Amino acid sequence: MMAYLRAGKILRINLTDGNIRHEPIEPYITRFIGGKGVNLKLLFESVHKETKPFDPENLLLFGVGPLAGTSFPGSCRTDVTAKSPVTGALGNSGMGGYLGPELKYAGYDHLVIEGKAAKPVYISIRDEAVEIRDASDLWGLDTYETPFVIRKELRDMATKVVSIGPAGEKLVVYASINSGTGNVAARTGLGAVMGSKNLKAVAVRGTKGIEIAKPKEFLKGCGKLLDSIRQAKFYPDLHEYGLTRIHDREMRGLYDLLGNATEECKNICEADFLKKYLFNRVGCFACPVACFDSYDIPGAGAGTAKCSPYGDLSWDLRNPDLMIFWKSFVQCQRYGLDARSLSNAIAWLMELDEKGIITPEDTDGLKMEWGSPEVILSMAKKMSYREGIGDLLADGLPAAAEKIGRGAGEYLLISKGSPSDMHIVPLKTLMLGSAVSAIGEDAQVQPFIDGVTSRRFALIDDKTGFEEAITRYKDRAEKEVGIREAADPRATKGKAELVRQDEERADLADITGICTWMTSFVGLPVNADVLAEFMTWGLGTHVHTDMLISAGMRMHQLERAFNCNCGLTREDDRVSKAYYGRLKPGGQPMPEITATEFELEKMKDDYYELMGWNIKTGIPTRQTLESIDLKDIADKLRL
Amino acid sequence: MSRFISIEPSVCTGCQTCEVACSLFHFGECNPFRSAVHVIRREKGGLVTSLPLVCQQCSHAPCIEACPTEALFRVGKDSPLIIDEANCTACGNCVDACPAGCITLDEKTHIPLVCDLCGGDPQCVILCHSHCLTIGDDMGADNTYRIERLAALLDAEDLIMKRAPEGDR
Repeated sequence: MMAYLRAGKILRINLTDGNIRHEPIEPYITRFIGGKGVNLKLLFESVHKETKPFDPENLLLFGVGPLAGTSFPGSCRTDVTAKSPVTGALGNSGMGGYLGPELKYAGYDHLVIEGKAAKPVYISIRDEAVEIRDASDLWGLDTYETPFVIRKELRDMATKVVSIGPAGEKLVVYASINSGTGNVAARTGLGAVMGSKNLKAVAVRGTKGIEIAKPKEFLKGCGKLLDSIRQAKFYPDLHEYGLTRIHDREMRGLYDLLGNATEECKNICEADFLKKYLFNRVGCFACPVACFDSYDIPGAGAGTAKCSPYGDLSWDLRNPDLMIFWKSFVQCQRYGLDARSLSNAIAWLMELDEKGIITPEDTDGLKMEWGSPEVILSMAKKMSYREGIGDLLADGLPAAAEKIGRGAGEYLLISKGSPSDMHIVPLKTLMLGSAVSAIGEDAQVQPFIDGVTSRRFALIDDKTGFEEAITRYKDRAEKEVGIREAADPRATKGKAELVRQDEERADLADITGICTWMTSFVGLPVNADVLAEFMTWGLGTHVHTDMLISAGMRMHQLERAFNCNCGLTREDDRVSKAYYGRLKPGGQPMPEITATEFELEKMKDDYYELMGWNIKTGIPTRQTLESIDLKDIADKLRL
Repeated sequence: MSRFISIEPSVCTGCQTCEVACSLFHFGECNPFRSAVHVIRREKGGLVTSLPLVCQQCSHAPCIEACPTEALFRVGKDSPLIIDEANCTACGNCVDACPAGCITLDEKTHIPLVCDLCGGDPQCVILCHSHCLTIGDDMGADNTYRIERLAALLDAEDLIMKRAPEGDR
């Protein structure tokens, strides 16, 4: 039976024995709603401490939430989840595009991949027809070529395909899963998990529908929501320039705080690059923003990009030339490599070279000089194909640091083993958010109030006028999290609440299957009330806002429980040493608005208390878990 | 006046909202396969090209001429295409007759999915964020050029749907 908003089934494919079966999603939806929530429950049930990321026993899950595949704005998300070779614990990365909705049209809310194929295969799903097909001829192809060949083989140019490139095949821990047109599950090494299963690609085509209980209301609501999205301050920018104009400002703002940008980099203008080279604007399923910029530049390559990579491969490496960014980014896309991890790895080597810890002898004769085009253009291939220094990096930066020795590890910018954005500014909330995140630094969580008031503090000369300048943010903090002081960037108080508030926003998007960019993240209006309203129209039964918020919290507790089950404790909620002292507006440290280790521990205390976790161990208490209907999880953790 | 859904191909972002809106309005479900609008999407070398196809309400409609049972008709010069489901034999002649392939048969009922302009307020237009789909009005002038333009676009952009032969897979 088909339930409203859901396709109704979880599809399980075992690559070891070829067994294909399905089960109803129904038992999972009341508590976990869908998407990342149900993924986590499925992962928690069968992947344990002993399971290694590349073991056949690890699962690779594709989860699609209840609103995905509808006309709700930005209802495009697929959450990919597994035990991660980067963190050694939870791996999760969301991707937009078209795969998720198509999977639901084929009749499945979740795809669970178990085991390991004896030889390279790909999965083809066409409604009930599910096949494991030979991929020997596809092995070695990149993520642009693979979908093309599969579509030809299946004789259906409309089939949605995601695949891994050479990086995933070679188990490079920063490998991604790509659509070939810009949509990527890039973080936490899920492409490598896919490679470890000898799974080259997943191809999906569906012809069924997703039923809506109150279609007229749902449609009318979508129209109204689109109107209010169009009225948002940033919308015209987003719609015409993608993220480029906003990101131009963002990178300047961040580097004002980091204080280490080269003069040349200050001339970088993404919006100009876009104006000069744009091929077309494309977007994800049901998205009214269409934030992807695509380019087809002779001699430099074609592809589709948005947001962070522009900065990752320019500012962050002190490279002022966006054409170098573009060439390197196209390589990342083709090889299936996370551009942010690549950026972090290169920046690390450049810093080690500057500090005299490594020499060109360590790096295949390449001088790891800041901004070097030669370095930036060669490293994606080296890493993806495990050539020379790339092979050293391909098992993860902490492992590489250990092999290099000489204190190289001190310079890593990581949390939970995962390379951070090189332009992350260690404000109090961002440090706490990174430290307590289940997957290491997560760019989705960026508490707004602390960000704004910290910038004010750093840029205002007259510190006496500062109090007055932040009054409205204090009012807002009081209204939203109940603590006025939370808006003061110098205080640790209230920071846990700000972090949790922003996590909640991301959690709700992740369990319902919509893009977090529809939310206040970029100033768009989707919030818990809006989601509950549409869930109500979709299901035909009343969905309380509070019920959705509880489910988001349940998902978050489950993330934590999974990591605790993998052996992680309070000790692991850290940011690397390089985070500290990184904040230097105008080249001068500004200890007021960043955090010391002591301050971070204090904020962690607050956060654990808020989440109901044991202050000493960081493990959720039985009482906490039972209070949100997770007694089974408490039992499993033997609390 | 003669209203139709006007297509501006250069701004389509491929989001498929039009398809979902159409199926939701007419069938109460989100299903691109049950929509009178079809977004043709082609991906190549990291790039995406997409184009929505929808009935252009031709004044001299090849689909109406091709219908052997007169199940496809208009009730006046200004009327959108209407289908009389009782008289439709699901022969598919209308599908073949449209130069741009704007008509498909519903996989469930085998009745052609034709654009009825949602009875006056086309839902695809309301939800099209990029103004790719808008409501046009040709004031009853001869308009066959529109469907020919769409067909030419499909050809030029190499977007023509190459369907798998029956039983081939």
